[in-house]
Amino acid sequence: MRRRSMVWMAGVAALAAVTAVASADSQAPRQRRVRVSVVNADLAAVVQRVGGSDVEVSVLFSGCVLRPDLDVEAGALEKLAAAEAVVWSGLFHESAAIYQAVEALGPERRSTLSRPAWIDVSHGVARVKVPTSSCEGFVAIQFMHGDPFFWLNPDNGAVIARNIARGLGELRPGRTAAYAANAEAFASELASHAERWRRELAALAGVRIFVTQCGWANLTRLGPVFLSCRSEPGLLARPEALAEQIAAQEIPIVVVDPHTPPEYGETFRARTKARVVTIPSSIGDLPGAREYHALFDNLVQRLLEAAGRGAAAAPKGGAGE
Amino acid sequence: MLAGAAAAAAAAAVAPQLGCAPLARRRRAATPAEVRRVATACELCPNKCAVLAVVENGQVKKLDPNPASPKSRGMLCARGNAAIKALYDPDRVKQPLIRAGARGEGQWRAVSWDEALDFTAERLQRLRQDHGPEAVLFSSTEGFQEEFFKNFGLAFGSPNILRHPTLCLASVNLAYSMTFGTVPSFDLLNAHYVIMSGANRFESIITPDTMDLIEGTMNRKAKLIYLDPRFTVTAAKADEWYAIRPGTDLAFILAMLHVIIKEQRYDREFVATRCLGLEELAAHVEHYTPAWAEVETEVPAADITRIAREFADAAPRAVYYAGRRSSWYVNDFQMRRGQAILNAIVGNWDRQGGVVPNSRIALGELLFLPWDDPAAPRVDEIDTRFPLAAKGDGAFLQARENVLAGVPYPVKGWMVYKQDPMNALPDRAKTQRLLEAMDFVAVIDTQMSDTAWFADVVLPESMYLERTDPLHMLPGIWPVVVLRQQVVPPLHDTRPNLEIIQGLAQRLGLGEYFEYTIEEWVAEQAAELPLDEPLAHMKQHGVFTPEGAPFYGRTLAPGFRFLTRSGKIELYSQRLAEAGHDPLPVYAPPRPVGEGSFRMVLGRKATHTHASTTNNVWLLEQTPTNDLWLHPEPAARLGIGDGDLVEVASAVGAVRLPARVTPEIRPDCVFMLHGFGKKSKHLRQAHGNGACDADVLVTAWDEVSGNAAFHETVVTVRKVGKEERRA
Repeated sequence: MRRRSMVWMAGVAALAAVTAVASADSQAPRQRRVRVSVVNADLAAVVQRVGGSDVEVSVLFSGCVLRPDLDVEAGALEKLAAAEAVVWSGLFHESAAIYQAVEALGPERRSTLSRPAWIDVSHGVARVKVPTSSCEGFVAIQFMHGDPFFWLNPDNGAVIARNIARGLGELRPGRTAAYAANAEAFASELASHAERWRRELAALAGVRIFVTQCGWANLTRLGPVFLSCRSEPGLLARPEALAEQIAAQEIPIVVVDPHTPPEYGETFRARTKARVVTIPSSIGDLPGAREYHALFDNLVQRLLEAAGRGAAAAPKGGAGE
Repeated sequence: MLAGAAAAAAAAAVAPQLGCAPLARRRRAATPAEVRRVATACELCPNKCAVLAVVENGQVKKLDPNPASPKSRGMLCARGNAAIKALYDPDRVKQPLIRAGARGEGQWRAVSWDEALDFTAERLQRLRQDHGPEAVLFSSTEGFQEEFFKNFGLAFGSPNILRHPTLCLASVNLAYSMTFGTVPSFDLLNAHYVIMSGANRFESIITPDTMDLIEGTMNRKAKLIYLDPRFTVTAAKADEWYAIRPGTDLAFILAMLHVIIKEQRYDREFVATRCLGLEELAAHVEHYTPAWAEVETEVPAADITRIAREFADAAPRAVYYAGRRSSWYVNDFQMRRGQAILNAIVGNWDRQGGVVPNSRIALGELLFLPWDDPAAPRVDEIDTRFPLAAKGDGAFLQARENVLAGVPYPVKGWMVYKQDPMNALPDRAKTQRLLEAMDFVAVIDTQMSDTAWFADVVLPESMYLERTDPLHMLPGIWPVVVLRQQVVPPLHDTRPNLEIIQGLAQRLGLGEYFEYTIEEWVAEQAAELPLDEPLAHMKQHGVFTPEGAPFYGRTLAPGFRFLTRSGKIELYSQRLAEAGHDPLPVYAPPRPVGEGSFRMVLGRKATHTHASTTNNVWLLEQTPTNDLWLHPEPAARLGIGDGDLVEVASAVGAVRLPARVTPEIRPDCVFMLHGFGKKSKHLRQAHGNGACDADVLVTAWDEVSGNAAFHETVVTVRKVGKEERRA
């Protein structure tokens, strides 16, 4: 009974969300669209939902944003040069790469980017794995506030959307209310999705899953136990050492990312009995995916499949084992 | 120095002093000695020197330096040698104790580990049920087993992990991170010009890099400029000493920047390609002239100008040293930013003799079950009050204020590991009120600290020579990994911290998060070292350091991005501006000291580590107690003679101690050595010996980092007796 009520409430919320988006879009005055460069595809999806038809979104990076050679993708550079806003996660890897790309444009082109609004979506988000410093003074500034992949926690989706709404509202003050309404609709819809993911993942409660993408640890409270490296994000121990522990702990499922070096998956397959599955940690790596929630839809479905628990519905996209 | 210290250690071991009776008896045995040498790592100070312990017939007879470690090389200081006395100290807590009288009364009941752990777990569980897990503070200071304690707090569900940095160098770490994207080291071995502000290296911590600098200055290879209100040992060895007006170091730095920029003595190529914000900086320091700074600092303008020129000319082999301690004021972060900027513009970054980013060595890690991260917000409200600070370390003083005020929620319990907040925090009476306000306090420590003295239960940890700890990587110009391994079995009914934590975790239903042994932990860490038999190597040698070290210049490659917002060294910080702070360091004069009052300045000596070693008889031979440094001028005005007993009073408390009337301090300051005046009667050497600075220090903190500002205390001094004693 209680479960049915919750499903019904979620349905109402989703309907309200769709209505709010449509309403906000229909009231949009004819203004120049806001050109927004966004650091990754997942946040870009949220920007699109919040900004609706007001925004023209481009994605700056794909793959792991922690790699030292992170560069603005060639196709995104021109759009960055014309962007009115940059939406970022507060991660200096991203901003440093953006500054460097802009500097390389040359003085005339740079002037077009002289005052882009920087919308930091990380304000107020919850983070896991907050590190402590050592007496030697070493806590990497990038990670001193915790997990850099905070958007892999769907509970942060609402905060992210509100930050985006606030930032866009500063650029188009007349549309502030519409963006705020869109953000709330997005948040409501996401909450209903999250409830569904929680129900579905309950089937995996207590199942140990090793993940190379440490950000998935955000989802441990949803049921499965996501083990990951706790050292500096972006760094993995040697695959042989990890495989030894995975085997010793009889971990049944291992999730690698499409961007994890291939020797990890190969070693895990060769040296453990775990089922090794490749699951993207960005909708940028999910063919056809456009919505933020597709990231978690796919994860849940793929995990259920890997555990042999069946899937509630076919995922929108995915990657093979 | 080494030979002297080692000889002193050996000689002292022969004499049947307090705590040495077992040693003396053993010496009479006629059987041939079985001698072992065990590689381990010292715990007597933060330097973590590698040690070779000499064990004879089961007794630790001597501690030798391990020459394989670049952090310690062939040296082991007085504190390191005195670890033997800490091991055999008869005042150690020898078994678990549960309080049997009023808090602080000193009545204890010796109990079994089962009873102590049951009692502690039951009280923690009650707090968790009644108030939520966030109602328990978990505070600790740095140590190789600190991680287990922190993890226990998080698994328990409390976000309130409070650590040492905001009582130490959080402002340095944050300022350098905001400028360079990392916290660097200072290449004192190769520097030709060194400026130190209050960092009393020759007296407060004697490590190999201290010796490098001493050697450099003694051989006239390096020039040392030293700013300090006191004439310290460092001042005595420096080329130039300036008794700078306390709290004005930033004025000195800004004037140096003014000269270097105005005379275009900065490294133009380096600044143009790697730094951001020179134009803004130049405009900012335009009015910070040496003449202006002379008024603020009382350092002659001509000297400031000359030092600025010499510093720039000596670059890149020139460093403005950050140090472990400087003038701790409410503008400390901005002063450190000034230092970092000064280092940056002369181009000494990542070059021999300059400021060098730390290299690291990757360690493996044991996979263990994750817990749900705590859901409640932190009691210190660090997210909103100090948004740029390292969240995991917390803001200790803000936490104390909030807990006492009951905001934003009640906190009723306190777990303490290896830390003595009663001495580490300013305003000891306030800390005592915090302890007394708690429903439950548990302390894990090797000794009965003042905080333990006020606890409900004391869980005795084995001393470092009695336990194996995780591998520890020390980042640096010459990075190193050290292993601390058990040298002798525990002498008493004590346990390593991990086993204490496991005992509590099992009783609280958290056991699955700690299902590993220290041996398994160490083995996984070692597995990542680039050695054929890494664990065997570490057990045999105790040290690993990579080939090719020291490393320079790796961040000078074209296109290298610093981990700052712009990817460049940020002279001007947009991030600071967005957080509501000055993007460039703005000078604010220190709070004036009224007529007849003094500013209290603090310091350390290399013979004691904070307040943790003042029960060690060997170290007490070197520094037996503390006294109050007072200049002859005010002393005469107040009728105080050398050795007179004086009362030092501030807004929060008063202490009594002998006066040391000396011209080696500014007339507007007084100085007191930290670590004395213990309340704990269990520490028979330390109890009542000297005065506790925390009794008079007022609560103040740096606005950006939340770091305690220990030098914001103003005191009055009056004579209360004649020549009672003398340090």
